[in-house]
Amino acid sequence: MPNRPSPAQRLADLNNRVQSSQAWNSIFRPGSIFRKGYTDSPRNRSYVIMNSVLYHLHPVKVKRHAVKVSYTLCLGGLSFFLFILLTVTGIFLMFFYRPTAAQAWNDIYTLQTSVTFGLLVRNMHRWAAHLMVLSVFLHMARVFYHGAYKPPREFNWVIGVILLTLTLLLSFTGYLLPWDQLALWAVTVGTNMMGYTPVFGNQVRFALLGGAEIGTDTLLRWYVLHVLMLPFVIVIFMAIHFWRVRKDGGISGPL
Amino acid sequence: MTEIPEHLRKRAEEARKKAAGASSASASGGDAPASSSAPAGSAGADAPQSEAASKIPAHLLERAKKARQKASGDDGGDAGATTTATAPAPAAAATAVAAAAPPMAAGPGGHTQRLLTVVKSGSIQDVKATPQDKVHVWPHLLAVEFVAALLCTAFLLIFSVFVNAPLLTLANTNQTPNPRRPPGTSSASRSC
Repeated sequence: MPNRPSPAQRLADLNNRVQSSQAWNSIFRPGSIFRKGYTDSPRNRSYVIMNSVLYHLHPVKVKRHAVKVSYTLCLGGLSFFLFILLTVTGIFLMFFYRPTAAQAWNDIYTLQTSVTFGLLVRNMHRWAAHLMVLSVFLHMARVFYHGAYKPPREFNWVIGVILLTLTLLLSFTGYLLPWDQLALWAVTVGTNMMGYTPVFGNQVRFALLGGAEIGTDTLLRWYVLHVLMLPFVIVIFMAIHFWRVRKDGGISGPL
Repeated sequence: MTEIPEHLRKRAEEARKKAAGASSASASGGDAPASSSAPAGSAGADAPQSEAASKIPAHLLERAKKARQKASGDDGGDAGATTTATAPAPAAAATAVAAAAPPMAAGPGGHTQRLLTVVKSGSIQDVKATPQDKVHVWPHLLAVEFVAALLCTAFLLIFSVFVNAPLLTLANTNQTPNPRRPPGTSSASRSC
């Protein structure tokens, strides 16, 4: 009578068959730790970067100082990470929010009191937004004090300034959306100040408010800016920013 | 590579100066080729010179010496006549090559190749000789980035659990949120 394979043998056999399948090998590209016969070699380390759509923002190798842990480490990367986090939490919030003066505040209130994790996700969205403004600003300060705005990085510095402006605009447009007293009066002050723009002051204010004063039209306008237009524009500038970091010789070194 | 041209240039300059001096001195004499082929040996006052020369086998040096002697004996007069003050060395060397066996150790460094020109470092190519200290992004950078992202998320999560985002009362355009006066600053106390 032939020996029956032990459960461990069966498991190993199954594992082997799965890892040899075409589906598995087309999902996990060379260099993946999930591939059969993975070893930690320079070749595989390179493949990890080259065969990943996300990781290949990075070069295969970086200068040693780039991985040195310091208090300015990864500020640009964290800004991007916070943007991703804000997108995810923002999409969650969009499921429960209607941008009209009659419904906006109630929706937020209901989100906080009746939706599972609603309050937590709203809190995270709010604080992540503040943190992103802070991290973008600190990133800019790091670049400035390192003199990393100098050639060949002067073009990327300009892109960075545009990104800071877009971040501030995203933060400001998001401020109105809860439609509470804080939102209303903060935006009233902000738009009144913009009304003093020379020559086109009234037109600028009219365009921003979608009318003579703040109302439902303003809310809809700022909502569209906040969830669609500004993110769309910022993503384009981010793509250029990341691409230029690589083109200009990677992360700038210490002075 | 960045250093070699400088040192070669110096050596070649020295050799050229020496050759020019020798040929102008012996323009009327007959031993121009001998002196013009000499810079290789004579320019070597500095250290690397002797090292370069020592690499040539002795029998070859001997053969070159004989050839040089033979050349100077046969065509010394002609070579001297063609030599000018501006370009003495190459012209004389060329004549010597045509007339006799190829001279060994004819170049400034004791090599058989002649130095045509010296390109100053950085003028055409920006050669970076110093190798850079680099590390693989995976795992070194990605691990650091992952930890940074994780810490950021953890901070945000914990902060959001304990601190709520503000939500005041419904927006009311008829009521401005005037700041509350601190105690003791009423209009009556201010008038005092």
